Amino acid sequence: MRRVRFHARLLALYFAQYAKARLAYRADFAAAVLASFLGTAASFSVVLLLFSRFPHLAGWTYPEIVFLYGFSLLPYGLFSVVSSNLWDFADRYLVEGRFDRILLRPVSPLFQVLFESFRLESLQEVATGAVAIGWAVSRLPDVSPLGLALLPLWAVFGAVIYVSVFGLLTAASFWVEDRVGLAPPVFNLMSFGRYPITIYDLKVKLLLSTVIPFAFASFYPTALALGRGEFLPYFWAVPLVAVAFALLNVALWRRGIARYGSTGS
Amino acid sequence: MSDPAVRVRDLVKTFEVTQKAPGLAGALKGLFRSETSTLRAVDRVSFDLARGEMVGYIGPNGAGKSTTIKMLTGILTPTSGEVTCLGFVPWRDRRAYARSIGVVFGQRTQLWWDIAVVESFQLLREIYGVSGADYERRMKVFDELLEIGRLLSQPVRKLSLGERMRCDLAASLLHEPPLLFLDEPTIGLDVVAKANVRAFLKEANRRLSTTVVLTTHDLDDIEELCERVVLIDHGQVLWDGSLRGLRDKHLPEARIRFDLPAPADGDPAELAVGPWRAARLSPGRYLLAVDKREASAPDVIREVVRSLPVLDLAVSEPDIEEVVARIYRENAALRRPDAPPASEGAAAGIVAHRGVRRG
Amino acid sequence: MLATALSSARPYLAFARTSFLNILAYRARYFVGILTYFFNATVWYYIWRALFHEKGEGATLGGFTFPQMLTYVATGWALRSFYFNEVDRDIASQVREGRLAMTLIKPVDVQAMTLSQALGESAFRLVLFTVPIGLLLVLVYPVLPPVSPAALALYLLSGLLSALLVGAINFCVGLVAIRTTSILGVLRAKYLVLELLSGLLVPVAFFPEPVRKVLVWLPFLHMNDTPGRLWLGLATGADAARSLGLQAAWVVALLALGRLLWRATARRIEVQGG
Repeated sequence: MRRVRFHARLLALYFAQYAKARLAYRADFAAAVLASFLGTAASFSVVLLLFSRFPHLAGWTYPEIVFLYGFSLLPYGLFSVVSSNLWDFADRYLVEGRFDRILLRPVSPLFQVLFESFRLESLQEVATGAVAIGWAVSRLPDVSPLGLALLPLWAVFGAVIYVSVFGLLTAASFWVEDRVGLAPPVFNLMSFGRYPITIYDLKVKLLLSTVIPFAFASFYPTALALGRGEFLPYFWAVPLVAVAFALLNVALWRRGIARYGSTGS
Repeated sequence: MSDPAVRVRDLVKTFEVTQKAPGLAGALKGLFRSETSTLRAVDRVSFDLARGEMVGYIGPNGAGKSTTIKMLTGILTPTSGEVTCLGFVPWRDRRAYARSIGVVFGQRTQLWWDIAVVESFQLLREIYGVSGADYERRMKVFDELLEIGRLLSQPVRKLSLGERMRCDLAASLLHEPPLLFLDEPTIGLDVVAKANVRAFLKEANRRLSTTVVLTTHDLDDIEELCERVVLIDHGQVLWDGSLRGLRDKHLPEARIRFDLPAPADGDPAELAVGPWRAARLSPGRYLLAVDKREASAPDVIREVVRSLPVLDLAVSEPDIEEVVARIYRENAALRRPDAPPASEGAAAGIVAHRGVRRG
Repeated sequence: MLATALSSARPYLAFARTSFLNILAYRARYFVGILTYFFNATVWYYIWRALFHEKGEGATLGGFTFPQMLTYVATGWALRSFYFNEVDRDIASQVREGRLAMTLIKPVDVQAMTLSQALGESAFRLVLFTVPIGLLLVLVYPVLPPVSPAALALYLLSGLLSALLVGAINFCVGLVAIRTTSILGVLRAKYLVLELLSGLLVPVAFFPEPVRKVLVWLPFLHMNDTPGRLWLGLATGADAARSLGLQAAWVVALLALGRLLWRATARRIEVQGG
């Protein structure tokens, strides 16, 4: 418990220090937020282009699709805020040797890697997602209030799933000599948890629900709010999946760090 | 205080090195499998450090210095051997041990790159649980000794190398660790910055009796700071003792330089002085180098002055750079395939080899 | 004439070869990369299938039948595996780390060097990514063949121009991104915007009329929409010629823009020393 408190205080401090430094260059930060928003707007446009012409898609109404998409931005945005170092971990930490410094501090190495820098502008995605959900809710007749109330918490679980999956992929760079890492290709797959999972066939559903469980991060969490009884078991499984993948991730990082200790690279 | 701060026994570290075959065919092959070979970076290293001792750990590039330091700081796990630092096994108790040590890598900062220095210190204060009062007091001392006060508000990336090093040193001592590792702390610094860093280290060692392990290329650092050096090459300890002893053992030379009036017929390349021979450095100027174990410097000087019309004369010793360079060279020669096997003890090998060369 | 061209190209060929070998070393990324392209195409197959299903069997959407749309998706992702490069990221990190200051004193053209690296990478990706990915997609999904040998030739020509176009765009993007501190953020936004505007995800025919009118005067749709329509025979004759002409013109224009941007950057490097 003391360790949790220590890390929570440290996280707050890391975040505050980083935000302070980042906001010191206001114009630059504004440009970053704008770029980030353009990206979100572009990927949102894909959904609007495709689905706005159909009143229904595979049993989903247009507002429901917007709700799904809007929600998917919440865990994704949270993940983006903390994932900037995972993205080029192999390069920045292993090749350039910064990982040594991480190991010299009495703080969890994974914690340091995740929270040493933030992509603050990605909070924009969380805001955009919230707005989209708001719009969708105003057009949907009966959204479950409990489902809505749990959304933020489930978004955090979703973010934990994303962080864990990319943490696992990043940890592979302890073994695989590869400057770029495995994360970029899988990154592309994140967007597919954003569409109704019912449009895919069994293979894809299985993939998105097991090996790369992105459906648990961005699709199943909406089941309660949208009253999709058939997915409720998955909805309640989201916290379990998040914890399981987080533990897996921590375990793999332990192994990876042990390996780093024996190979030094 | 009888326990050593650092105890190292038969420390060995080997690495698997991937061999990349050259060319397109090699790269294609590498897509499926790769060949490896084993490199012995640290080879049965042993030494003890007493508390409060300041020791220089030196050796040429690739000698195994950094690898040793990484094992002593808990970054690397040894292949075999034992290390106990302050009662910890560094790699096993890494996180707890990290609270008791300070580490400075001259090449890399431990501060956060983008945020102001003072914010880095705040983070470190939190990480190491330094109380507010201690923090204020120590920062004041750092400012007195290192003059970091005006640097605190700047982001690290805007500091010069010397400024950054001062901040890094302060950061490494913020939690007053009993054990401090410095890897090339003066690399790339100008003369003034070097002097500052050395003065600070001396002061820290004196006031807090911090045990300090220092690796460096700059032997002036060692001469000024360390009573004791451990010299390593090809992963093995070649010398452990005082700098003076190192010189006396490996290059015990007295050098007498003297000037003679220019003769009409030009001067000879070599000049006999009693039983010794002096070599010409430039017209009219000669150097006579004698092994101090064979003759004392005063005797030689007397002989020079007696037998030659000397205009001017100066006596010197080889500087430590030269001594160390010679040891490396000799060790390298020893490691050639036609040399005797290194397993019989490299240090012993060097002495024998020297005897042959100079005999 | 040819001989001088060849000999002046020699240093660039060396750059191209180096990046070729570099990629080979990254085996893990290779196998995962192939699967990712396949999976991306697969998911889009399902999205379109659901949409067409909604409309009823044999329906057309935006002028595409379902087999045509599937083919558009498959040829599009295969093409992306060919034209993809990270010129933007490379040039930005080189400028940021001051590595380009050295090339300023060497008699090489940075843009030509960078683009030959990108083309070297593309030549390499053609063999190791595009062909296997294409084969995989053809084996698994009912991809339509090109409507005629001419359509195939035009697709290939257009695909090559796409690679040049992407190289030229990325060179510019990298030099613009360097002016911000969040280079990766800008590049990430670029991917999302280009995936939309290039027609990779949704053919330009699906955009609302006013947007489409603007898009045809921008370079981006030539990355995917133009080659895709050529393969399917949706652009033939004068239409095909005009599309290819525009595509080539954009390559030239963006290369020129890149030179201007590079000149400005080089001045900054000279002034600030990197």
